[in-house]
Amino acid sequence: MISKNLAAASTKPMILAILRGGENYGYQIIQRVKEISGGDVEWADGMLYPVLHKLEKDGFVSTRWIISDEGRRRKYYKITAAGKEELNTEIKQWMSVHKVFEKLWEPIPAYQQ
Amino acid sequence: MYGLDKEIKTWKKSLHKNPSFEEGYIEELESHLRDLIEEKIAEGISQEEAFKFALAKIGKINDIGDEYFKSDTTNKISGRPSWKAPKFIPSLLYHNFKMAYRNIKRTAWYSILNISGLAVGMACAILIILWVQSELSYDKFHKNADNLYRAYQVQEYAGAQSLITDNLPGPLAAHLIDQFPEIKNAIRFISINNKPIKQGDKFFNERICFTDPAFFEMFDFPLNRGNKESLISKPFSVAITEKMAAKYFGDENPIGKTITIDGKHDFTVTGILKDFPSNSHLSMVEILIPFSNTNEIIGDKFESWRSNWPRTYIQLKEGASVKSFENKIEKSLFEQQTSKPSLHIQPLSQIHLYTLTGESDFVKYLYIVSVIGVALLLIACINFINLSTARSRLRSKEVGLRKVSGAKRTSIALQFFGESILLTVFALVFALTIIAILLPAINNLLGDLTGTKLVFNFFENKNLLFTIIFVAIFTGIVSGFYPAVYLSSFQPVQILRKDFAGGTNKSLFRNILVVIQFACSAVLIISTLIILSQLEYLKTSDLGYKQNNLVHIPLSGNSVEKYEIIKNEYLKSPDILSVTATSRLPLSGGDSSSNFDWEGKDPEQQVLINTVAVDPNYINVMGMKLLEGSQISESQNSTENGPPMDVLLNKNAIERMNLNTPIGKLLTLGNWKGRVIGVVNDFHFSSFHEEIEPILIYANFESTKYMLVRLSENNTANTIKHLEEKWRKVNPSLPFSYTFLDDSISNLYKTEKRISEILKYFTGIAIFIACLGLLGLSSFTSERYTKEIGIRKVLGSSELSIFILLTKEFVK
Repeated sequence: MISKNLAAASTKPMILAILRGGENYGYQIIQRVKEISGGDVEWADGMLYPVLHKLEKDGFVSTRWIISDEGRRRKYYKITAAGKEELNTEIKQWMSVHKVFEKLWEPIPAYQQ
Repeated sequence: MYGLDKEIKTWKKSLHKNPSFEEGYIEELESHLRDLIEEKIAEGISQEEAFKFALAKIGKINDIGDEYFKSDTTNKISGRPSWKAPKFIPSLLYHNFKMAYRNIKRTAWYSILNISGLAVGMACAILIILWVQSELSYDKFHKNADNLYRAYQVQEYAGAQSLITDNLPGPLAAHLIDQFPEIKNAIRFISINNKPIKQGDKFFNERICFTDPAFFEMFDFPLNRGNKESLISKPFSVAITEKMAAKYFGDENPIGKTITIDGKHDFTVTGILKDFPSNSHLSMVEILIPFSNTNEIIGDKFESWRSNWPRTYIQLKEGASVKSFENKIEKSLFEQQTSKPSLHIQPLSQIHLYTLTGESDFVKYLYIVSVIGVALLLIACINFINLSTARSRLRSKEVGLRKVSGAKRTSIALQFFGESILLTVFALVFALTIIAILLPAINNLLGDLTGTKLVFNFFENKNLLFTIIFVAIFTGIVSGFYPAVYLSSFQPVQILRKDFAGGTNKSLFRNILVVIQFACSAVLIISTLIILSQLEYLKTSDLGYKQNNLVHIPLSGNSVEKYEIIKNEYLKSPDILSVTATSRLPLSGGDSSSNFDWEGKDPEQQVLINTVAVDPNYINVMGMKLLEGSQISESQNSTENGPPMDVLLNKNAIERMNLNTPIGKLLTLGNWKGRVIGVVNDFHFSSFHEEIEPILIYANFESTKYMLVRLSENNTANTIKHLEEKWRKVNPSLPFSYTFLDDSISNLYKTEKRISEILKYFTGIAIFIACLGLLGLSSFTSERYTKEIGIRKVLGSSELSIFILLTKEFVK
């Protein structure tokens, strides 16, 4: 599990990154995150939606309603050009943070484990 | 089977309650929830478990709502979304008040009807609550109020005759203090009316009261000048109220000056009392002198156990058990008097409203009036409800549009509720104005009834504010609730359809309300009529004597001695038909004794006989009927060895005493002897509230206290003037005051009279308010029929048939 603050900060790039791989809806996004992290990164499912809503408002994603084969209405999210740009900025920031940690944590045995 | 869909529906409803969720958000969440559930069910978990799991997985609704709220925030400064009103103002409140105000203005005529009805109803309700409060506040302002009692005795006689009185033997107070450690204080108290008081060149007949100095320890009557301890501690000292001080001394300082009672006893003023508060049963006290001076003024030291006159007030020690004390004192008078009376106590706070036996017509009246108050207010509220719902059709489009634009039922209900509240506030202002205008007249009426005075001043009367707020809130809720619920219940689809006829389909409910209104009014009218007819009965029924054109003048001191002189002076005038004197007026109780003995008396049987001393021609002047025997011919004094006095008995006495041949029978009372020479028909010598009791009439004008003068029917005003002139000539040092007997008698029924007057007003008001309501409804109906009337007229219908058409609904 990751901390609340970290989750709050990382949700946005994660979602954008998942959406870069293709149009998707909320439930699947959650599933993907779970899958990739092996269950280590997990949110309260409901909390995803306000974030998606915010992304939409900011113009990083576009949405449409699609009726699934089972007849369920689902809101699909698709990354926009602005979203891709935003994701690149995020990636840069996360990578610089990542580099710092890589250097700092090299000799710590706990990390080796 | 577990109702999954139902559960999801309930869950969705809970989301709808949170204003941060919009329809789309909820649908998205629902779809997510269903995905989660399906996944779990696929794993082989029950629906119920899956639902629970999914709920937990989704997380707390309010947290999600908050996140949405944050992301919808557009106003960076206030941190609230643009569609949300600032937190300190409930949403749309300002807007709604604006709407309400415009609505009231647009429908001025109906608003006036509504407001005036509500105002009158509220004014009555506030006044009634204030009145009831003030009646209940009597004698509660004393610090010791809870420990103060008035003693009274119950004497039982044969034939279910009993005497309940607070007149007690003089030595009782001292005896009680001596015998019962529970008692902290006990005092005697006597009040007598019509005592001539003289100071300088001013003289009037006044009420004077006698009491013991501890009076001021027990009761909290504030002082203006003087010292509580030494107020009436010495004989011939007197404490007077501010009113009396102003009357006799004007602006001078009365302390140390003297007033003269009965023309011969000088009393030195030792203190000025603040005027006694009107909510005390002792509010009649104005001149207070030491009890020891009864010897000079009344001619009795009240040292005998065998005569009853003074009241006894008792203050119990803090924490004393009242019940056991009552049991202990019950036999205190047993040994002392042959009638074996039992002694009881009555709490001070009950004196005003209850009789000694704990009954009270007056409390019944208070209940009636309270019910009337509520009824009046309800009638006014019903008007409001009726008009609002009847006119709802006019507002229905507004409701429909609001709902279509997303207003919730509660917010529409709140809007209409707010309008009612606003109208109530207008009405309240109006009601307070009405009260302020009417208050002097009302105080006049109540002052006459019970001596109560309503205080309409927020600083002096702390209850007033609460009362007003309570009445306003009550009115607002009762009148606003139903219209708000009703109007907000409209469905937009129905409203916006062309043939919607809101306001007519519920007319059954309205008709019921109108019927309730008129039932209330009818009950009021009937009860008023009943009380009026009772009063009429009291007025016209035969008292057993002729009450008209009879004037009574108090006699005291010198004027008793000069009775014969003034009587002869008076009789010279042709307009003065006859003059007599009596020791008691036929208005209230007086002397009575149960110790009479006569031949053939059953020793087990005590009969309480009232006695009255009169001038010999009393029977003729009063116009009473002599049944047998003859009248008394002369005034006599009873001497120990002299012949028996001539006495008359009434029919009731003959019956109770079992005298078959009363004439010539000898009656004795200690040394006193009397021989029955005649029997008079029964007559009422106190109020109709009391039964006729045995009475013994003897002739001795020295014991008389009132002169009775029968006037001719003409020229009464001049004759009264003549009475006064002659009085001044004969008694230059004594004040002249007179009262017509029929006035005094009607005074006995003043409670009934005033209550009936009050009822009359309320009935009028109830009818008025109910008619206001009908007026509103009918003018609304005719407004609706305008077109129909136009068409009918064009087609040639007569005005009469239109009139019939319009009135049909209301006559029903």
